[in-house]
Amino acid sequence: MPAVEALEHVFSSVERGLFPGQGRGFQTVAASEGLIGSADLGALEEAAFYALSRERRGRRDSPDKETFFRLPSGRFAVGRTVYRGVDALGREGNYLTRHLVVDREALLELDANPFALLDAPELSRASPEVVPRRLPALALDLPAAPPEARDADGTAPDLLAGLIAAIVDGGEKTVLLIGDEQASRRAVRALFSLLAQEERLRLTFSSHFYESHHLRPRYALAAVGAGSEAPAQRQDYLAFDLAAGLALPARVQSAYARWLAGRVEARDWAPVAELNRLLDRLRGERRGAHGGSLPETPEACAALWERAGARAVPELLGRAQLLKTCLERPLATALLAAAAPSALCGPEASPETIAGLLGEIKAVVAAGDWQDWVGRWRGDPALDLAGRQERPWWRKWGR
Amino acid sequence: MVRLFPSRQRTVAIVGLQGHGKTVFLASLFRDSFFVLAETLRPFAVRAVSARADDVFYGNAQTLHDLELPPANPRGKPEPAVLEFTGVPRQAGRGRRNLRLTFYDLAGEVFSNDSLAGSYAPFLAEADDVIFLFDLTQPGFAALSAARLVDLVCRVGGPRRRPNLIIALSKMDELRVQDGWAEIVGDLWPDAPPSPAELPAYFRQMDNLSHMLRLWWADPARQSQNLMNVLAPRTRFCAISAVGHQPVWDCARCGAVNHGARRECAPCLASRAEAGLRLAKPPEPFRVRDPLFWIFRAAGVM
Repeated sequence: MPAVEALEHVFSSVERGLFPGQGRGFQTVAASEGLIGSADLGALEEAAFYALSRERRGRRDSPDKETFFRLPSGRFAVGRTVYRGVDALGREGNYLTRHLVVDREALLELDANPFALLDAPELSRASPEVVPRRLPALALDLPAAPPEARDADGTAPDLLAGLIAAIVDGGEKTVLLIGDEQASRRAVRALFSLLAQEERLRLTFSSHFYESHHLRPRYALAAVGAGSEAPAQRQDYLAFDLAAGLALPARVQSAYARWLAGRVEARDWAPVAELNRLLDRLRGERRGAHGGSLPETPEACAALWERAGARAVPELLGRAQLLKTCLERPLATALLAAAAPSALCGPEASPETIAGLLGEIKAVVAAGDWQDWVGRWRGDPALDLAGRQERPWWRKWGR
Repeated sequence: MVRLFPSRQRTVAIVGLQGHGKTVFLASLFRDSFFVLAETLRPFAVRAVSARADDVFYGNAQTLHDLELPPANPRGKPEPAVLEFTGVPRQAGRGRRNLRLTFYDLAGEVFSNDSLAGSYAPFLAEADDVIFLFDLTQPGFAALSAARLVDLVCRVGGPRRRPNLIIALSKMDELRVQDGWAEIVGDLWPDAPPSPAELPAYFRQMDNLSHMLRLWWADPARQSQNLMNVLAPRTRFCAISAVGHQPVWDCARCGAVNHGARRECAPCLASRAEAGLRLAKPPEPFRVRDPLFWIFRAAGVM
């Protein structure tokens, strides 16, 4: 059961808040000492924004808003906003926002899973005391329940594949989910279950984005209940209509996104968990002995290389068959820099495989890099083997 | 460069402390233009140009029509709500002009300090017209808080801007029977919208009212001479009521109908708590169009 320390922030429309000079209205009611006077406090106040469309007000439909975002200090905040009816003046439109702020390390202790905090009783209880005061830091004992890839079972595979491509490929645009908010929440939880920790930390979101375009830079993903609630500035968003059928975008640039999309469509969850654990370990985010494994496919290899870069090289050494299928110049150059020919090919590789792999590497790396490497490892058995396997130029012409 | 022709587009900032009636004023202003002026100043018309205007004006006007009050503005950065007024009559002559006004309506609490106002109301730096709404019925309101707000807006707006300032006193319905106010606005009650032929007389009324209100502010009892000295001589003063009567609330315990200002139920002393305000009858606004007409005049279209 991980124990983390969180700072608290409470925001609502009240007669008198934490800073009496602000008078009546929406303001910070209570906050932990560590937030007072910091730039984070202003960001939290801004992110607390909550509005309801006229249609929703008419239906008395006031969804809770869940948020996850990064603060100017680099800390992370999760928040829940609930509608609170009338304010001190008797006007509708009051709301109460509660934020928990944790640092990166604490969030990693929770598997970079903001839902561990959002589901915590401290944040989910309906109405905390709205009394102006300075709060102590909150010690939370949270159940260790990392999101499981199989949590994605309840969401349409084509939607998930499209969302993964949009989120992982990144870009300036915010992904906008339009449609049933419950379905959006399920999709967001499913996304978290499918991503590695670093990607999770980038998946900031707001579950109720009505009239919130000014907050767009904070979120990688936002959701609205209907097209009429979507921001007018559509050019800044990548919209996904949950009611419409979705297909994987024609051009998915990220190898990781392509691989994940393939696993999602096949409902093949185990390799997703394995590769993500491996990524987390290689990137230094996961502590502990068990660190995942690399699925033996060229797509997984490409995904690992794309996400972990040179840190993936030790995992790839000795996998000659796999390497042959996913070699690109940067990877091949990194392999040359990291290992001797024998270590690179592994002890179990056949002479043909060794010759094939080294031939492939020679074909993709710069000639100078290849010559330096061969010169450095002259006498290496694998290199000698490859040399013997290689046909002399006059034989290449012979038929 | 000298501007030879007045711009046909202006930015209007509505400024006031929380609960002083900014949102209701805008809704009532639109309602007056839509239902009343469109009739008396034909072919005058108003239309919402931006998506935000649809919500701020049509949405909130409908809310008033339903005998409810618009909800409190959340603390956020408002998007521009653009209205286009067409067929605005000239005070003298037969020509008609068009004008686009970009309104910004935001939560009053952002005017509590420079930092918040600068962050949430950057449009102040480009505002052509600033309408200050002051509700004298609010407990604790004094000349000092009015002057403080005017100074804050001038600071945030920047030293180079000299916007057209309009000081409007709201909720006049509650004050009009009180001593002093009866002689200033009593004769003007109830509201009478002008026809094009009556515009010159209506403007004379506006001028007179502005002069009377300036004198009211300058009265030593107000202790606001400093504010009057700071304000440019061309600052205009208005007295308005956006709905014409006080909202009410229903006691959850005994069902009694109470005036909005009461925090406790008159018969049973139960707290207002969760009870929301509503209108007891359709809005009957009083001179809510005056700030708009002052803007029309400043823009040179009326």
